[in-house]
Formats: sequence, structure tokens, C-alpha cells
Amino acid sequence: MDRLCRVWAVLFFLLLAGCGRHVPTLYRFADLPARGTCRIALLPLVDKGDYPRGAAILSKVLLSELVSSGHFQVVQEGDILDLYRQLLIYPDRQPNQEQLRIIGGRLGIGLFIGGDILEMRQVKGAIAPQTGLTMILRIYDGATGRLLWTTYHRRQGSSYQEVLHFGRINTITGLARRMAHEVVELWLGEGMEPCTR
Amino acid sequence: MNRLYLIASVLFLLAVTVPVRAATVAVLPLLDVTVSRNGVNYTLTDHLRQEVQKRGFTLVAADRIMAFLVRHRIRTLGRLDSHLVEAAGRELQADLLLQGTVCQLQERPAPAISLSLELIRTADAATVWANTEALSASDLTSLLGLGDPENLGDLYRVFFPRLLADMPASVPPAAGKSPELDIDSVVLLPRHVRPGDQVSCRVRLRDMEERIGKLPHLVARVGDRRFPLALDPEGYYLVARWPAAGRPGEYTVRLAARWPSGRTEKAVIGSYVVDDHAPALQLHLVGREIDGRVFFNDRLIIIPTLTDPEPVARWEVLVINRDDEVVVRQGAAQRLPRRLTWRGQTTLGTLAPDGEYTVVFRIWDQTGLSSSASREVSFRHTPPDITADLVGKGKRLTVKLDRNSGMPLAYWWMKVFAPDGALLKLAQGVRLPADFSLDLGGQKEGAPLQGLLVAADILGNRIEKKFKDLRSTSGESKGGKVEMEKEWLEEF
Repeated sequence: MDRLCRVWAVLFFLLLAGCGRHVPTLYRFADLPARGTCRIALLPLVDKGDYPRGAAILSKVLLSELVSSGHFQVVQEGDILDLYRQLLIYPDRQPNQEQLRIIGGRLGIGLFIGGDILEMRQVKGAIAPQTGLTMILRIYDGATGRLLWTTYHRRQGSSYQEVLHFGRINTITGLARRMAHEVVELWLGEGMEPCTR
Repeated sequence: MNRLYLIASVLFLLAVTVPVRAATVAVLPLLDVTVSRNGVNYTLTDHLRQEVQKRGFTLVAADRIMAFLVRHRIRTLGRLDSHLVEAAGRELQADLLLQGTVCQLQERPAPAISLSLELIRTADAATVWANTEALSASDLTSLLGLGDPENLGDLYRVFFPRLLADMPASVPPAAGKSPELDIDSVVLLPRHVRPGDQVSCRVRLRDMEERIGKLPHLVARVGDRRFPLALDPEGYYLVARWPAAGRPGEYTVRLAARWPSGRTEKAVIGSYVVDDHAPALQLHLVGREIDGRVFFNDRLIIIPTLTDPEPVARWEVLVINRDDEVVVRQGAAQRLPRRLTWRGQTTLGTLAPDGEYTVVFRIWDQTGLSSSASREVSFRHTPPDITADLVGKGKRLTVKLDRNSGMPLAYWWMKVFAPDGALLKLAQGVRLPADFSLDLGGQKEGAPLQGLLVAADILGNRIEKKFKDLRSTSGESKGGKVEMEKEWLEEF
């Protein structure tokens, strides 16, 4: 009887672990600057997936999540692209540390957010569309261009399914929004300093 | 006290009765990335304009917006820079700019739409509100399937109220724009210099022609050194030139501006590297090393490495023979290759003869300083040259094998067969000269004997030789050389 109880306890634990919330994974390479993280620049993302214009979509979603969080001033994308042009950087390339330092100095940026899309897909499913997104977002120091944090996040639309079809995310933009929200929440929870109001 | 109440009441009534001016919004045409990088969706733009107007905003006329886009040659929507946002505010008399991107739009198999919007305050080009909303017909599926959306029109009724639900009804006050140097472009050349070489810095400020006479005093600062910028003869750039410092290293250039009002600003505009020595290069050849010398027969791996890595402008590899003739020349203006393979062919495509060669690798860094490294290599692709002499007569024969030249052998073996295909003798070894004897006691006098000799040297050069008839060539007991064939298929 005792043995049976133990087996059931293990099965129950596994069941709970399977239903557990999958949060983004954060790797810290250095601490965020104590002050001056309020003004943020979103760098064009590097798209390694094959979803058409995936980087543009995720970039817009991330921008709206940062702005709607109410904690950050986000520099206009056009200003960043202007400096890309001046520094002869292709929009689908990641600037090097020196270039980030120049952009940061010119626009008075506290932090840069850049990253890669590793996978982005939305395919027709049997009942509803199947969506999936894998991304890595990186935070760089606006003053030095140094890499500070890296966040890895991978989810599928069905990961959020609760009962029947409820909770399931059926659009890639919706999934990107939800994941971006989770990443921003994680950053704020881990000590990213918001703007003082 | 009563008078105070009276004044306050009048002021309150005035505040209530005087209409508050509704914020003017310029709704830019929506960028549609579902079509292309520069796609535009006018249908959804019209929907959006109507929804925004319902929320009490005053809209800028669509034709005025289009004229603005044409006037400023805006080719890509959804990513205006601060200057264009401020220009839109001035020229369109708009308090706010609403730009958006259509991220998803599909009618089939299930209707779906997603839109991302940004509301930008034109006074300081700050994004004051943004939202992304996505909706699929699958999101609205009910348990019984009654009243489920069937097309995009059905979705719009739900979608737009959700999208604009928390859009601010009034313009939040501008927080004051942070000071920034209004630089249009910077040309800092060259990026890599030798000590004493001239560095040129050209800076162009935005709308510079209109601000001649009111321009700030600009100084380029490199460490402790200061170099004032002056207007060039064409009046297009502010220019400064200076000699690079003698000490190698990376130098950051900062621009300091002092305005007539006394306000000062600083910005990092670039950097350059002073380099006074050629990059140190090591060359590693991967082949078979014998007594400190590299040999190869098929492919030679050439691996150049920089002991103190730095950007390389171009590289060149040469293979030179003993007559100082260049048999291979290859190079490129790009980063150093991780490895190269030489398969023994000359630049003309022919196979180089066996011999001794020198591989020379040369690189140039960004300042034009070059260095090179070379290694000797021996190319051997000729198979071992083996002779077989037959000695003896009657029922006993001795086969004597020897090699004329070439690399040391890895192995050799020889088989001798009777006319019926039976194996009479298998001899093998790793060294030559060698000999072995054949006992032909059970064979008919004069019956032909076939043989097969296989040998390979330590580089892998391999030879197979077939002997048609050992006996006929050994009939004469003088041990003459046998006739050999180059190819053989061991099939019985």
C-alpha cells in the first residue's frame, strides 16, 4: 500500500511538472546599469526562421509590449535605421560593440534590445492553426555596447491551451505578443529598472 | 469668502462649457508586411480612420497625408524617424501620428487579422501608446458553432474595438525632449591608419544649409587632442583633419558642440585604429610528416593563423617550385580563410609533377602592412615503381622484387596462380627488395602461371600489376623482366 502511494505521488508530481508554467530562460553576463535603462532602442532582429517578414512582425510586437508596459521610452525605429545607414550596417545584421556604442552615444540610449528569431511558423492544423516561435532576445548596454542579458524563449500556441480549445493561441502574432509580454515581465521582475514617472 | 466662491464657480462653469480641443491625429497608411516589405493596405487604413474618428479625435485629411509622404519621399511606412515625425506635426498641424503595421491578414482557411499600432506625439517624437492585437476566427469558435465569424468583415466588428480599447483619449503632455546633436551623417576615414597618417572627419548636421551662421562650434576630440571642424569649400560638410597618433591602439572620436546660446552637447561619432606593425602569421601544413618534412600525394591542407588576430584586407597564397616558378597563385580581398586545400594542381589546371615546393602565404592588414609565412612541402603522387625478376628453371623459381625509387612502402603482396585458378603462393611484406620461391612440383611442364602484385607507399600511392605468365618469362633462366599490365580485376 505504501509502495502504491509512492508511485501515485511520483505520477502526480510528473503530471504537475508537465503542466508547469514554462518561463523564458534568462542568462546574465553582467548586471544592468544602475540608472539610465529607461530609454530603450529596439534593434532590427536577425531572422533565422523562414516565416515571411517574421523579424518585422516580432519587432513591432516587442515594441508595442515595451511601450504598453508603461515603463520605457522606446526610440523610434526610423532613428535606429538612420544610424544603420550612416554606419553602413545592413538591417539584417547585428551591429558590433563599437557600432552600438556610437548609436548609444548619438541617441542617448540606456539599453539596446536585439535578438534572433530561430523559428517562427504558423501552419494549418486539423482543427486550428498550429503556431510556434523560438527566439533569443539580448540586452546590451547603451553606453558600452556590452552584452548584459540573454533570454531564450520557445513556445507553441497549444502550450497555452487550457480546456477544450480555450486559451489556445491561433495566430503567430498573438503568440509573439504573449511571449514578448512574458519576457518583458521577466526582465522587470529580475531588476530591469523602469522609467521614473 | 463669498466672493471667492463666486469666482471659483464662474471659472468652473467656464471650464466646463468651453469645448476642449480634440487632439488632431494623422493616420498614416498602414504598412502591410503580409504583401511585401513595403506593402500598403488602404482598406484597413480606412477602417482604422473611421474607428479613430469615433473616439473623438480630429483626423488630418488623407490627401494631405499623402502629399506629405510624397514631399518627403517616404518609401517605407511604419518606421518614420524623429525628424519626419516632427515635420509631420508642423506641416500637418497634427498633435499625434498613428502609424501601424498589418502583421497578418488572411481570409482562408480561417479568417485572421493582426495589427500593430503606435501613437506618436509629434512634439517630441515619443511613442505614447502602442498596441498589437491578433484575432483569428478560431479564437471565437463557440461550443455549438452558432454565430461564429465566417469572414474578415465579421472579425473587424470584434477586432477594432479590442485594438483601440485603451488608446488614450487625450494627448499626454510632452516630457521635454532630451538634448541631442542633430547629426545627419558622419564620415570618419580611414578606419585603420598607420602612425602619422591623416584622419579625416566630415560631419553634416541636419538642415545645415538653412542654419549657416547659426551653426554650433564643433570640435572633434580624440583623447586629449582637440580638432575644430570648419565648413568645407562646398559648404556641405564640417571637416577636420589630423595626423594619427604614434602609439598603436583604438581611438574614440567624440564630437563636442557649443551653441551660440552656450549650450554644449557631446556625442561619440566613431573610432579608428592606429596600427604600426604587420600581423604575425603562422602557417601550418597538414600532410604526412617524415623526418621533419611534409609529404602529400592527394591533398595538402594549408591552415594560416594569426597569432594576434586583426582584420585582414586581403590574402594571397603561392606555391613555388624549385625553379622559382609560381605554379599556383590564389588570393582574395576578404577575411582569412580557415583552411585551404591544394590538390597538387597548378593554376592552369594540370597536375604538378612530383617534387619539392614552397607554400607561401601572404596577408595584408587594413593599413596595407603585409607579412608572410612559408613552409616546404614534397608532392609525391607517382605510384611505387617495382620491378620483378624471375630466377631459376624447372620446378623451382625465385621471384625477386625490388623498387627503383619513391617513398617507403607501406605494404606489398603478390599472388601466384596455377592455370586452374588455384593459389600457389601468397607472399607479402613491407620492405623491398625481397624474394620468395615457387615450388612448381605438381604443375605440368610449360603450364602458364599468373601473378598479381599489389603495393602501396606510405602516402597511399598504390599500384596493381598483373603477370600474364610467369613461366614463359622465366623459361629462360636469365631472370629477364616479365611483361606487366597496369590494370587487374581479381575475379575468379
